[in-house]
Amino acid sequence: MDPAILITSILHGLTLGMVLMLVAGGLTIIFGMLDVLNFAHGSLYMLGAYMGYTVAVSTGSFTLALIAAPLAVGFIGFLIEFFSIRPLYGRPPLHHLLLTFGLSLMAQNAIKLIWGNDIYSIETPQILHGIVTFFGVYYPKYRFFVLGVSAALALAIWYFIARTRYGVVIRAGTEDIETLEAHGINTRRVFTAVFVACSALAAIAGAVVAPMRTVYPQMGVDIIIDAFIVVIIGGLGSIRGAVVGALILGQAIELGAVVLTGFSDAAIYIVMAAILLLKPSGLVSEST
Amino acid sequence: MKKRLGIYLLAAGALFLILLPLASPTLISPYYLDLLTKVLIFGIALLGYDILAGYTGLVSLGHALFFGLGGYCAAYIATQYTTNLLPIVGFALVTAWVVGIVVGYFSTQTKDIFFVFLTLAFAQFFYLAAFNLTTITGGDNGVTIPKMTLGIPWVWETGIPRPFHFYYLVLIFFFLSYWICRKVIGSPFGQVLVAIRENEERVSFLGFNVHGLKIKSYLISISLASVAGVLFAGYQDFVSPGMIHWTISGDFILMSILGGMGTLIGPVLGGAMVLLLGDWLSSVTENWMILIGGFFVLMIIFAPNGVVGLITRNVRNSA
Repeated sequence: MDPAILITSILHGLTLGMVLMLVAGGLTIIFGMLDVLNFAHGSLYMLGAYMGYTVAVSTGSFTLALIAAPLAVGFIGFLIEFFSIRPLYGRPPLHHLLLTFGLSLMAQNAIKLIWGNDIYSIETPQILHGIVTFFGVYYPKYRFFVLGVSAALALAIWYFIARTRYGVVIRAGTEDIETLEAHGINTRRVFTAVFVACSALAAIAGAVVAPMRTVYPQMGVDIIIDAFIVVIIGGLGSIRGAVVGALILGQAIELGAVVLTGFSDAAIYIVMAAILLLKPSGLVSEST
Repeated sequence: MKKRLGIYLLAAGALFLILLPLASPTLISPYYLDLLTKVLIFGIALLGYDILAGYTGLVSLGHALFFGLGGYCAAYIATQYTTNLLPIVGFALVTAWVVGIVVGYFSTQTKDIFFVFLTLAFAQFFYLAAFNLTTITGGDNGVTIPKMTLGIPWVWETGIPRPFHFYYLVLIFFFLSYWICRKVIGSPFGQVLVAIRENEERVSFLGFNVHGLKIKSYLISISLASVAGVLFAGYQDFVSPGMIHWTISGDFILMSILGGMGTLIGPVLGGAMVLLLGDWLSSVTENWMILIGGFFVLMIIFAPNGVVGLITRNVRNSA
């Protein structure tokens, strides 16, 4: 195989993996703390892309889109947590999965009502046009930008969780919520904050990806399945697992496209089934 | 008293389903008779789904695999060998069992959310296979199926005119499925399934082979999905990879929850609600799923046991 093709697809896999990490990271933090499997997380990602599109088209500024999308979607996340997820705390986790499944159906059809069935794309900002050349590999500048933004966000999140006082609360929350409460932390408020922050994170991912991929009503459902697979193979609720899972899945998808031409989409399911059967609790299982 | 009321209601419902077409076309137009046929086909799959999800507690997101597999079996036999329904059903069942033993053996080793996603993985794998193996499945274009027939293969065969005769044929399959599921649930085996749902560990301490029992439950469940798939292929005269897509499995979950899992008749009612409401709403707005989704969300929050759960709770309260 041509090494240039191989390097390109590995880079593709890395970009995709980083984006998946932003979505799946939020998903796994929400599960770890709130015990909620949020099927609507893909819808938040999609809303981020659509909001980003609208802001970018109406103001002409992509930077503004990157700021507005997470703010707007964060607010939607607040409404979702406050009015639908909160009443179900303490119920079996399946209820939350089904609830958010219903929410994702609503979101997908709301998108079609507002934006229609058309496929949109955001124009790449002027400075990020063009390609970078190295070792005979041509790679779009914008993809490096996506890679950089995702990596920076991931580092910021890691710093926040590992090094700040609030991060301690989050880590404690994924371990043992009752003890945290006994230490005088208002866990309800923490839950809301975490849900809103993770919603905003998904929205940034959606807006950042929009110029690279397209914006369409199925995109939320498409990414949520992948993100769930990341979380499952990484180990439910494990943040480190989500990072490892996302990087593996990114490569499986993009390398799968090169190796298994014509049957490439199957690669992710093969990887997931294999990992679930060999290590049912995921690659990185911290508890039990 | 309460139990007898339930039996009366079921008998009334069955009688209604038998007599309704006779009132055609004054009370029910051929269009709605056809739609009701679809409701009953989904009903067969949902009865089976309830055995696994409602009674055994294993919520699958991969049931469309067997629904679609039944459809593709029907397409294969009908286009290559015979359009006779009975050999088609037989072939579809055997194929479903062969695939089901493998998928079921691995899937039922996990539970809860892992079961949800492992079944999803297997089903999506088959979806992609149906999509990509164009020489066998026709890929995205699907396969058009000749009209199915009844009778003795190659000796005497008769068509199944729509909607009247086809409706009764499906109704017979539906009653048969309901009877089988009742028998299964009422048997000691069915009781153990419920016990597995409630407390798996204790059941295995009692000396039961939990994994084996789960596989059995799985096989019963997918058999009905497969038969429903054959009938649905006959209903549409067409199969496409869409029949295997996970959104169909999602519909099964949606319908079961709305009606009330673990009640057999609940999921069927849920399926009827979604299909009839969908048919009615889609004439009003193209994006009717937003309303169904909203209704579903409200049901999960306020009535997680579904419509049947609501009714039985009220009956109990008033008694």
